[in-house]
Amino acid sequence: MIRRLDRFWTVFGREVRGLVRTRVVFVLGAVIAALAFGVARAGGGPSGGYVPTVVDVLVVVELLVPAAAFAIGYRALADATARGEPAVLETYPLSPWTYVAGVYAGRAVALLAVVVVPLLALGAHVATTAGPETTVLASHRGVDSVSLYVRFVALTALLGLVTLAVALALSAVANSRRRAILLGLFGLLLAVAGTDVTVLTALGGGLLDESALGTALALTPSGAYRGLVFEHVLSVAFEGRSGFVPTGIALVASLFWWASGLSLAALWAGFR
Amino acid sequence: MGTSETTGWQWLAIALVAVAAVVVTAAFTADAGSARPEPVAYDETVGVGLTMEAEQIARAEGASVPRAEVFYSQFRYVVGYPGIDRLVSALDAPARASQFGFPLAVYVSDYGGVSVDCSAGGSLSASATPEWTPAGTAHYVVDSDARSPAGPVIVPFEDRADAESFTEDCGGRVVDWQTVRAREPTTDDPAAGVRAQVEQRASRADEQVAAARERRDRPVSVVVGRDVATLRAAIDRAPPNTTIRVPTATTVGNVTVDKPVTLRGEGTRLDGGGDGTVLRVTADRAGVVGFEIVGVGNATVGEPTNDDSSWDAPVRQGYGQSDAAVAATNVSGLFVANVSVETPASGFVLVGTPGAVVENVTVDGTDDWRDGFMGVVGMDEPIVVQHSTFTDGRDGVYLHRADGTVLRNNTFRRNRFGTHLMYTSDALIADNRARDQSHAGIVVMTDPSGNAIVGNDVRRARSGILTAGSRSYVGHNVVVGTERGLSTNAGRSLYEHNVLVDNAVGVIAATIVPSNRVVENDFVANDRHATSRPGPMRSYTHDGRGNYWSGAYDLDGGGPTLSRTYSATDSVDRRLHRSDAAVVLDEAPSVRALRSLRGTTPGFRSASIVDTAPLTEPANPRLLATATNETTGGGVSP
Repeated sequence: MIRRLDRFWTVFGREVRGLVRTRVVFVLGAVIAALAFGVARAGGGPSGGYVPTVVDVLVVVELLVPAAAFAIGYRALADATARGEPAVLETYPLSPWTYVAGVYAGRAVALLAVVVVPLLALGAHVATTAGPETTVLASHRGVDSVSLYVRFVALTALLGLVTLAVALALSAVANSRRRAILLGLFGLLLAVAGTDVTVLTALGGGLLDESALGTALALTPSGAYRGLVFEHVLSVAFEGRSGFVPTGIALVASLFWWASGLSLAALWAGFR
Repeated sequence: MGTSETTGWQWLAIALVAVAAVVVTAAFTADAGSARPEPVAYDETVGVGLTMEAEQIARAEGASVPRAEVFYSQFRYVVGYPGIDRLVSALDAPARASQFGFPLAVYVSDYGGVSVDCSAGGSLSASATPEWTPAGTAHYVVDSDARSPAGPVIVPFEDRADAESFTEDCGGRVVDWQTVRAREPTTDDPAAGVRAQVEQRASRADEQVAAARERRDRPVSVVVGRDVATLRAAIDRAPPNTTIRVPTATTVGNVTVDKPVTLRGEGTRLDGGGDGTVLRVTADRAGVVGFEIVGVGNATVGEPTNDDSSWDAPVRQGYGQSDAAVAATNVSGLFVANVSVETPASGFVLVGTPGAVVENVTVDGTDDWRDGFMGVVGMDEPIVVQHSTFTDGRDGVYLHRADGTVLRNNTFRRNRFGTHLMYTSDALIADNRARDQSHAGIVVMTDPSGNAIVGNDVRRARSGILTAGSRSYVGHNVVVGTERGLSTNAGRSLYEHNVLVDNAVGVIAATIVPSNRVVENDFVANDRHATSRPGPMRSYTHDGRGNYWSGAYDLDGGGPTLSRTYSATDSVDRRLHRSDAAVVLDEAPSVRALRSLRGTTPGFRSASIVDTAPLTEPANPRLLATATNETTGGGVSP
């Protein structure tokens, strides 16, 4: 057990060092920061508070985070496979599970860094700019609260971790760079649009009614994310409206996507 | 990688994960919005108050007005309401949720802690400013004798026992918050009542004019120059209710009209000799018809008096005592018609003159308005001024506490203000034309209520129509070529069917708390159609109809309203009528993404104006045609 943990750390450390060396993550982080700040500033949310800022950046973040996850994860296993690393690894006492876990953890650290750090910086920006226009009148914060923003960042991190697991699975399935790009794009489009369009089609075709709509949305990674943000962050902006998605189902479904993504990746890596 | 190094990383990673877990858990377990804000002093709230006059009177009488304050979920400021009925109707207002969110906390005055009575004519008085108590658990005395200057009041108490002992002295009964909430709301649409009164006010003015015109029909008893030498002698000789004819020009100096007689000229020139007021009317039912009055003195401010201790004594001294062609104080039924005046001070100063009518007069002031004074000053009583022209004065018509005054079909040229209302409620300002005022066409100040500003046409001024107060109706006006077309400073008011063309800013949403209805107006070719002062989002839509904004578009076509929301304060939308390229930016996915959810947090957003049903076609095509027709510089088309 101890040895397995050591090996996990070895793979993890190698991934982190490799990502730091390529500097791509820094560029990605800068791009995400620029977009998040740009959209929020253009929308004027930061001067209003945390909740308006979330409203401003939600759509952009919902697209950017899966994109970043796939950008970081699409070659994670495909490259190694193409270089024949699994075959080499077989000569070491390293299980595919440990290997995949190490790769995932390393990439996850990079993803969280490029997503969470800009969002926390945006939060700090809100903390310093949001405020009333005049000090003559008494003011208060209304329902706005930093805890709502922390929830938003946590849910966004969850979305990133889930889509990264899916990206890793697709990366394991692909055994060449070219196929990795195609599968990565496919996965990204499925995550940001495909699942919602599927639910929409089912709704239009009568396969789904509104009683099951929340559950159906909760079953998809991006639907679960959006639903949880509405349920736990934006609900304060609605009077007498809650029950956007069932929280438990959304969390279990996210866990399912995460676990099955990593399992598929490990099984595939072991299979080779 | 050595073992010890790995251990260091491991500890760091574990520590980071642990901290993140704690923070996130805390964020999700903290009940956002459970904290109840503490009440603040009423002076620090924003709100739509009493009329300023009512407030002044309340202060002067020591009357106490029960107050309420609300902390809304999406509004950074605390909103104050003078009166529990105001509070209830505000909480029930349809736009409340989309502008402020929901109430987090509501406080009302607790009259239990102060010595309170209603003996002074029913006026509620308290020994000190009451403390606050949460509205939900308070007890309310309704239908008691207690009154404020604005009407009957509901009096809140924290303790039921205090409420019951209040009813022993002042009557009424004690009810709880739910019952107060369920009471029949005071009129939901206060300004519509003012709109409905426009015709009524006009016909009341017609009656006032008809009664005053009877001064024209009196038999001639004395002719100046034939029967007597001077106007003074004529007044002395003429029996009451007769006419004194003045066929030839005369220097009169300062004459006091102390009999109910009519002075009738044939455009005859009366020269005051350049000192003081020419005709001073001290008798009821006097008439002044058909003169050209010159030689008015140039004093604009009266002598300070010590015997007037009222709150507006400085105003009376500063504005009610200037030299004039005709001045009248505390007389009824005065009629002035067909008089032209050249004056370095005022034209007509009417203080306490119920039933007075001024029509078909012209007042020419000084080349620079700073040297002159008012065309007409009206104080204390309703007057009618119509079909008259005021040029080169400070204010064409200046009103102070002249509730119910009617100003219609007048023309104002090159004054500071065309009309200027101070502490004047329930007036009708209709069908006037203002051209080239240096400051503003129509100005209402000092928070009055119930004014109607209808069918006026204001062009070329720094400001077009500046409103103030509450419960006003501003409709069918045309404002062209100003820096600020129309300010919506009057709250709980209705602004409809106005046409705003070619102004630097069409409408300025000026109140901090939005409470107005602004619909069916046409905004055309203004640099900025509308701008907003700080405060929550203003919705310029009602019952599925908004305003016409040149430049607004949708891609659907057809239908009386556009499917696409228009925001006059949006950085892209506000340029749509100035650049077609703005359409391309407007349709960018990122711009659309930014807008997609904004409606969920309107209260936090400051200074925005949104119309969810912009009109496809102008709402007032005929007015719009007149607005864009006149091109001459300074001429007034008949």
